[in-house]
Amino acid sequence: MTCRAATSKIPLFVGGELPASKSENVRRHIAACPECRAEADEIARARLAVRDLARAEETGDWSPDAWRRVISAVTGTGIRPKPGWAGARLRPLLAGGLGSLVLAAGLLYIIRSSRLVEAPVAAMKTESERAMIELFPPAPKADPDVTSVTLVSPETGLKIIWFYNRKFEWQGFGK
Amino acid sequence: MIERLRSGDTAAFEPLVAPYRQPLYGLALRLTRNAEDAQEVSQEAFLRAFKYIRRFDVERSFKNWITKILVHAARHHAHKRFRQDRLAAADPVRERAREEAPERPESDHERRELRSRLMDCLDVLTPREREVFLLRDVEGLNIQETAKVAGGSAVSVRVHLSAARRKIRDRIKLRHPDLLERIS
Repeated sequence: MTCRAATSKIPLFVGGELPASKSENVRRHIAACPECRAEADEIARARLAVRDLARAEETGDWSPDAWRRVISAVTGTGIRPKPGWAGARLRPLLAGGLGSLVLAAGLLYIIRSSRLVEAPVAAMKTESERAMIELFPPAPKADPDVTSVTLVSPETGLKIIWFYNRKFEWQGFGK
Repeated sequence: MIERLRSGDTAAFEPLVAPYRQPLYGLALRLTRNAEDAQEVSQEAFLRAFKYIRRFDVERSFKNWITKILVHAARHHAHKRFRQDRLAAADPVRERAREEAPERPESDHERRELRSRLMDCLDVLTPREREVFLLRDVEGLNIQETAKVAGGSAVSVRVHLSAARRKIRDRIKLRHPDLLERIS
């Protein structure tokens, strides 16, 4: 076991919370490694020091009057009845149903709002923009079934792309 | 006693919870760091225990059940206190009143010193680390019990406990090295 691996386990080793096999590995490592042994010793002593401080602190107690007041205030309220068979069985079902409804409503809202973002774009186009779109329709979205042919003029550098579908029917062009 | 209480004999509540009143108050004090809040939190825990006693599974430990209620009440109280403090910070008059509130007189200087050192050590921990450290290392619950009382898995308890012990060692080494020397 490396020092790094041992160091990460030392805080639990000193409290006896490691499984036996890991604990044995750490024990063997710290027996041979003075640095890790010092680390384990410090953490163990710090843990005991805080526990001793807490035990010596004497946090105090309720005064008899205060305690009486608490008890009378508490017992003045009613005891809630244990939920019956229907309450105990139906409550998780109702909670699950409600949760599913909320989730479905959330998903619906997300889907609708994403459509709303796209829809008004066309309405917002100006007259000249619409004319331009008619003349030069936007290139279809990338699709593995679309074939394109690109023509480039060597004199002007003008580039025109023709798009065809899978049946090689002309679909449109772009610049 | 639990059966008597469940059948409506409210007089059975006091003897049922009396053995836990001091340990629970102590735990509340360490969780909330304030005597007034500790009293509120313990009272809330007793109130909830009384209200929901019919839901308690008699096969389980009553001490762990009521400790779990207290830990949850302390967590809820901390959230409430955080919101109130934010409001108070926006209100200079309330803030001044808080600052000027007299400290509770502590008769015993040594006890005050002990509390101050203990709180200083616990102050480095996050609320979750503080809960698992207090439950495991001060209250002596095992990992499974700590996980049940504080909520979460045993793995999560181990992770937070490990971090807490390391932070406490660092704080003690830095500020209270004499505490380490006292432990042989």
